[in-house]
Amino acid sequence: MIVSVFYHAFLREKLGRESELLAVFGEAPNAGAVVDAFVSAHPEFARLAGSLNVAVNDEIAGRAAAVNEGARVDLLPPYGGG
Amino acid sequence: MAAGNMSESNSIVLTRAPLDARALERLVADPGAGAVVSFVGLTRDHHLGRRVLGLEYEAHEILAKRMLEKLRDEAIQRFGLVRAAIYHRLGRVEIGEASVVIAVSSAHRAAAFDGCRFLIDALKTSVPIWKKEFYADGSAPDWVGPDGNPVSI
Repeated sequence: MIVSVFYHAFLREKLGRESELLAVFGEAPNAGAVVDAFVSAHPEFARLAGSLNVAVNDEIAGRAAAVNEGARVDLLPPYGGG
Repeated sequence: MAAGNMSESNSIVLTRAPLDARALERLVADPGAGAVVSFVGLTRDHHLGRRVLGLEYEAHEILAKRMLEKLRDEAIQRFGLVRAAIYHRLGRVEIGEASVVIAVSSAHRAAAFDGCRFLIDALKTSVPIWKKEFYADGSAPDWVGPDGNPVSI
């Protein structure tokens, strides 16, 4: 299954891109599987993966949240507002 | 008196324009509220021993607005506030300018202090807004996380 993954702030700058298509495997792919696919594609971010928040179709989602074909997934690095 | 009196559309704002704390205090004022507490977060000229020249904020705007609305509603309910408003800057913010202003009103002061404190603490940890600091020593800018440390891989 293919999902559109969008990067923000620190992630976008380090990767040099705003988004990409990632292949996600498994029978019932979830947000955690998208993070795993991201780390497979970019292993240098393995240590940061645990501190990423994930949004699926513009809703904050836990790692167990379902992700459907064609979903928009945003990977959100640690926040710095205030 | 009810929280719903203030238009929801102007109580949560992400903006590139300078913030006006007095305007937010007026926005949350109400004949039934005996207390208004506001918090103003200012950009500092130093961080971890380095001189900071300026900051840039960015957000996942749809999500950030929605989270701020959720936090506002939670604070109103939990602390019995009359109204609450949260404005946050985006883009370049010069040293000494306000990056965030929160104003809340309540019948009595304790709820307003507690609600305002809750909102700034929750904003820092749960709203997708990011801050990039630019330094005077010529080193690369850092994205700063909720603990104040640079985000790194």
